Amino acid sequence: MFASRHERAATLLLALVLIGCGPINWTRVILNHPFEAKDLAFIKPGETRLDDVVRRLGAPNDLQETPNGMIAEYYYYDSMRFDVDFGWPAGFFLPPGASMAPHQAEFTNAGVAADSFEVAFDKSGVVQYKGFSHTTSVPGLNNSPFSQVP
Amino acid sequence: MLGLEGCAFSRGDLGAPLDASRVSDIKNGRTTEAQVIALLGAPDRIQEINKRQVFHYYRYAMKHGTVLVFSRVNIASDDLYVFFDQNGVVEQVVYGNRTNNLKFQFWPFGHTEGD
Repeated sequence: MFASRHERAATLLLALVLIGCGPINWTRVILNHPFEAKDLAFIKPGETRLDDVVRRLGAPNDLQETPNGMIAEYYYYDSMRFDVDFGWPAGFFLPPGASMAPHQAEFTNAGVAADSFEVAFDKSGVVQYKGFSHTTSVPGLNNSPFSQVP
Repeated sequence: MLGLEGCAFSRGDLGAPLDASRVSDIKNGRTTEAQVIALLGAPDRIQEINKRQVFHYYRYAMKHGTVLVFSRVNIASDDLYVFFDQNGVVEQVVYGNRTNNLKFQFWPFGHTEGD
């Protein structure tokens, strides 16, 4: 059935990965959803009111007092993580007490995007200005932890 | 049973859900601080913004899914702000619910819009 030892090994590895025993993991953590430009086009400084902003965007995650009124902040966080545990195969050969030791040989790579959209209101609740504190996109992952940050 | 290996779903909450019917009982210009506390309990945070007291109630919900080697954690919050005038009467209510749309997902790739 299998032409070579390599094919047998690859099939065994694939089977173990498919039943969730593998040394590879992708994990993503997301807080809220990002806004796009079209979601925010309705906000006009000097015209739009707090009620309008809340009706379209929901309640802000935080409010901060400013000398002229207040700032409403909407948070967004997105992270992706990739793990490979190179010590995982050793767990099949080591005695039970040493099962944690091989898992120190782990390769991890993570990317994080954090964004905050802010709308400033005057004391009567009319928008003064709006803007993003950062403009990161959904994170990608570098192939290696040693490569340069783009 | 072998096919269920590597599957896990879990959820977590920080804070009690905000009862929308109780939130709608808060009326601008009529409801007092004491009545808001009787309806919703003590606020999670009290702020002062432009000499107005603001009660902030919040709740966070998390849904996590793992299938085989893929995991995803979705988190969202509900926030309620109640603004009071200087006499302690409600002036404005700002409420948003994001947790109703929170989903169990496991696929970690792709854009989040339209999830």
